Amino acid sequence: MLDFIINPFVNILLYIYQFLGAGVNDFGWAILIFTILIRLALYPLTKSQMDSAKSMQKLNEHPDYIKLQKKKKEGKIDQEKFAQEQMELYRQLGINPFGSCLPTLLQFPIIIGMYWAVTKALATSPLQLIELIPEISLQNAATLLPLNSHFLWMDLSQPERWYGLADIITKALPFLNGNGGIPILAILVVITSYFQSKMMTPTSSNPNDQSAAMSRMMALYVPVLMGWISYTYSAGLAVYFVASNLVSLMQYGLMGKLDFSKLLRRKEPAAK
Amino acid sequence: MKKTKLLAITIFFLALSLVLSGCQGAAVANSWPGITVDGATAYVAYNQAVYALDLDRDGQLSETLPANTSDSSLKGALFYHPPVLLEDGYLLTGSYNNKLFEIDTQDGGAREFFTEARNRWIATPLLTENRIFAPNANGSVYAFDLSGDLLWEFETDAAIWATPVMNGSRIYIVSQDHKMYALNAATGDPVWELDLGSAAVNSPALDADGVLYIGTFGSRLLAIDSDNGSIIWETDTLGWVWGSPVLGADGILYLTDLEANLYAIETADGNILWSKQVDADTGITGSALLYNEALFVVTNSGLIASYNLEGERLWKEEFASEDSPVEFHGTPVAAGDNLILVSSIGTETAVFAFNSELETLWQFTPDN
Repeated sequence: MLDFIINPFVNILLYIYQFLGAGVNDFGWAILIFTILIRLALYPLTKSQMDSAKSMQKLNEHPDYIKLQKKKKEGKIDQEKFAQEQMELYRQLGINPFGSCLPTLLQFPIIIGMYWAVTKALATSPLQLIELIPEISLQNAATLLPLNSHFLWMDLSQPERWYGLADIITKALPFLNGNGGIPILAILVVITSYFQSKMMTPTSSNPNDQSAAMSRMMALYVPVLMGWISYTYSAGLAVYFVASNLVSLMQYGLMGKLDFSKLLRRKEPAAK
Repeated sequence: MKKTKLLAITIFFLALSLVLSGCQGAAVANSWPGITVDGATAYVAYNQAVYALDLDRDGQLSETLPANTSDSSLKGALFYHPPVLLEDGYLLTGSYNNKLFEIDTQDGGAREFFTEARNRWIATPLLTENRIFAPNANGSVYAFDLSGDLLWEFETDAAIWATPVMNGSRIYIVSQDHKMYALNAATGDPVWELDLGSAAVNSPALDADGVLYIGTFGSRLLAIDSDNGSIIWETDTLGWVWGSPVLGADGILYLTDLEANLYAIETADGNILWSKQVDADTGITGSALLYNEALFVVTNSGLIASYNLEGERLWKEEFASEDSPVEFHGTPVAAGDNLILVSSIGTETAVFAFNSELETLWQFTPDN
């Protein structure tokens, strides 16, 4: 379905891999470099999304909007009237109601495409390799394949585990049956995803703000989901997730929008 | 409102999970069925099971192995390579859950044979008189005695998908690190190694003069002196080579490639006697089957064809259609008198059975 994105991505990954020398660690670096390039290319969308989210936050804290929501809650206006007045407020404040979700929708296929490109390029089974070969447009593909999947302590084609303490863990926890590897990358994915979600979610002091409540729930669910994917699937994806999260955080920091106090704040202060 | 939120979040995660998993079910194949024939029984390793088919009764399913799939050691187990028949009715088969299993064909019981490899078992292990040599996709070859005790391990720098070949006191393996290795079979010590220039995913052929023949992704066939690893000759092919060369009579070998070409090549000097394109816009992932004085080849686009040894096509049958995207992979397997078994994916059918005239005798479709 997304082949028009995935196949060019596979070739760009392979090109970077080849440029780096196609040796040990190079596919890991290729993933990191390509992730940074993708994030840089998506920067205008990311910025637009953040600006729009900030505007929506302002709307949620606007006295007129809080009054409007109160009226609706008390049944003084119906849904149609609420929508009309909300649109009028959007117009007055210069807010595009789709400004936040449209960049997300545009980024989604690219992020999913990257996920699949990493999986496809690693080709860990005969059928995957057969499907990969015709899609490669590099002249010397035969010398590049299969990719060297070693990166630091990882095999990028396998779920990542660090076995440095495996003996101690196995002795302490014999029911693990010798599988005492620590999923370091999955843990890093959870932490960086949580940081990213918390840092990039605008605060809201409006207790009726449904989108803020949804964002708080997503800030918990998304890191868990990403962590589970990283624990289960190949380490190449986890490298991509960690790099992507870190680059997003750096971009957010360069925009001067990192607020570390959000990490510790459990609940937004209520409006006075 | 809480219910709506919960529903929205559930739908979001379901959609994301589907996208990330490629909208695929649990039983999606990673490879094609691996077939081993023992007398009147064909063992077909495919996805979660090894199916025992009765060849005397048109391939009827006689047993599904292992019998108890809820056993915790079988979690995530997927079987694809042709199983190895051990003595006493046991099958040795590696799985995609990184475990090597021994399965009792009598009661269907599965026992973990080796669990310390940390990658898939894609290649068929080599069974000799008193040893088992099992390559893993982690790049190691493991040597066991027949009771399952590990004797040695030899590491290469990339996955091994090819079965080793034995000659006297040595085994020869090809790794995807682009190299062929000769190892002392008793100790695992390397005797020589040779850079092939590109990866090879299938086994070399070894002739009576001790010459190894291996095809590579570099569109090349190499003849190698098994004694010292020196290249005797090289011949270019039109496409990347996936399948093993097949040695015929009178100093001729037969080779296929991923451009769906079939070649007859002289073993003395690599001269190509003839080549035929079996089909356009497809590939051949298996070797040719030399059977009843004819060559049988199958293509990824669901075509089976037979040629005489002079390269003239005898028969051809196509099975793929828009509604039924049959793909044939691997090497056709001779299964007794005038019976050829072919691995299939793309539809629910896992095995097609043909006679030498390529008439379909029966098909096998697993229950799941």
